[in-house]
Amino acid sequence: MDESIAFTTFQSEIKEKAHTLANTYLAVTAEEIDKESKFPQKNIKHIGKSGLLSLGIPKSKGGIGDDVLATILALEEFATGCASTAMSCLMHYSTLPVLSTLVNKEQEKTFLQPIIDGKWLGSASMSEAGTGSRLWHMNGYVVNKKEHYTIQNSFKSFCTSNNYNNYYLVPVKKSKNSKPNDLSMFIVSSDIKDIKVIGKWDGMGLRGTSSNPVYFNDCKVPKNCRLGKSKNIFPLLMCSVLPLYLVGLSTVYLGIAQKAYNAALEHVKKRVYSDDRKSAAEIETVQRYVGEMRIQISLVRESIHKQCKLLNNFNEILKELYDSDLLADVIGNLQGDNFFLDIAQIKVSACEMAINVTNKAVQICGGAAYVRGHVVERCFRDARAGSIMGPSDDIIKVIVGKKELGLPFPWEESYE
Amino acid sequence: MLKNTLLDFQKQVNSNSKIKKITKNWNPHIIIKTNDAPKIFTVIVNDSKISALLETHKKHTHELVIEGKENILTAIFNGELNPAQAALDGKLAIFGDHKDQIKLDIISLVLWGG
Ligand SMILES: Cc1cc2nc3c(=O)[nH]c(=O)nc-3n(C[C@H](O)[C@H](O)[C@H](O)COP(=O)(O)OP(=O)(O)OC[C@H]3O[C@@H](n4cnc5c(N)ncnc54)[C@H](O)[C@@H]3O)c2cc1C
Repeated sequence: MDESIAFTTFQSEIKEKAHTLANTYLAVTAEEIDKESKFPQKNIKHIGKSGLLSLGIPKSKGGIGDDVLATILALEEFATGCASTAMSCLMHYSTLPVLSTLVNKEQEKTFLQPIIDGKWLGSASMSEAGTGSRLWHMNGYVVNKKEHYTIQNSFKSFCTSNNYNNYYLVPVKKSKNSKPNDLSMFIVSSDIKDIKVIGKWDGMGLRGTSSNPVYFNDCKVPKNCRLGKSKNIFPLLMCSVLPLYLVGLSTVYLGIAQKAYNAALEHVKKRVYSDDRKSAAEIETVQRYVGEMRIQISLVRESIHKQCKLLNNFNEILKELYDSDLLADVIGNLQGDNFFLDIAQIKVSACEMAINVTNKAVQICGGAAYVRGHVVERCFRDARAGSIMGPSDDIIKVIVGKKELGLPFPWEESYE
Repeated sequence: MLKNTLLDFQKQVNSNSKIKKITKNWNPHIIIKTNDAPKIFTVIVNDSKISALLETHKKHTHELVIEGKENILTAIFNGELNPAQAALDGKLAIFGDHKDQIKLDIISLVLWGG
């Protein structure tokens, strides 16, 4: 794989570690995981043992480090090994900025330590059935009881790693009548009996992710599971979790595209026609497809890496603002800033690229890739989810268009 | 052009209570150098405010040096250009501690919102 920028020693080490894991374990079981729609529990265990489940927890809090580019490099390696494993890791990583920032000393011991020890996997439980990919609008809410909190009406339509996770990160409205983005944040142990996981995941792709719905209603949550002050939750979700999730999602689809590309290249080199004894690689049309795929992949990778550098910088700013108790004041209305829109645009480019590249990979592999079980066929199905995963490509395009036209953003409209 | 922008920047910084919080115990000299004209300024940050703006290089053990074209530096200090983005795009050279660069980014964010 080509690199678009020079990496630090730390980033290179993480990439190497993830590469070894991907080759040794993830790639080996990817077909079985897809075929049987089986959660990649063993892969997650191996990743946990390697320390890479704590990517995103700063060293100062005992984690392996919160360098965004390092996380992204690991995710691409995971995704070229097994897309379902990578998606589960992404949803886990998406919980870590909030957790690392908001935990108090006691919560640090209870909730961060098992993640640092590689024993806990989490899920970011955001999308609600009612509002779908409109992630800025939550319907679920919390009731503050004397002994505990009760989460009500929080129906999460898709939640990765269901049944195999140790905790859910659940944002809900501060009270029944609060604004949809006036939130409280909870870390909810998956052991709690009131959580209802609904059905069994049977997706078109990403079949090992166990991404079925989960319902939090009359769900009693202990008092120590509430994280941070409400005023900081929405800003943190929008400015810390969402950017990481978006570059991470882009990276998972980059990895899927890279895998399809690698497999297609191998296929066309080996496919030799009996009449002229030439390989498919010698057909000019195939060469053109290969060129197109390669260009599309490289451009997305370069944009992701560039944005990660800015994100590392931005996260340091967030930390300073949080420590000075200025986060909500300063960040409150930044969601429409160019910086975030640039990151969101990468998500669109990456997901469209992955659909496009895997489609071309099917094309040049011909009938072989149309048959169930071919790597390219799997990548083609895996790639399709990106564009609909929230915020969907369509929503991002509308938001960017609104910004360009000087019109209010959707989250501004919905409160009027 | 740049001098007036910096004077204006000084006023904005000194009247902003959020920036006072952020710059507590931060006392660098910010050296601003144009590379397309022979101009140099020292912005002295002291006691949570910009205490002086000098048209010379006043040396200090804690310095942050920012170098670029006059129009770019002007755009940075009047909020038209984001310093982190400008540095990444190669429009600006910044020498000094990374933590000081972050402070500058925060000041820009607080004043102009990114
Ligand atoms: C494999 C997989 C794993 C997932 N894992 C998680 C997870 O771990 N945690 C989590 O929180 N969520 C998860 N999701 C949920 C995912 O983010 C949702 O699919 C997404 O939010 C879309 O919601 P929806 O299906 O209700 O689509 P809808 O919101 O109904 O949207 C359908 C389509 O309508 C269009 N649309 C809707 N509103 C607008 C608008 N305002 N402007 C323009 N177009 C619009 C878009 O084209 C969109 O694609 C996962 C999804 C998948 C497929």
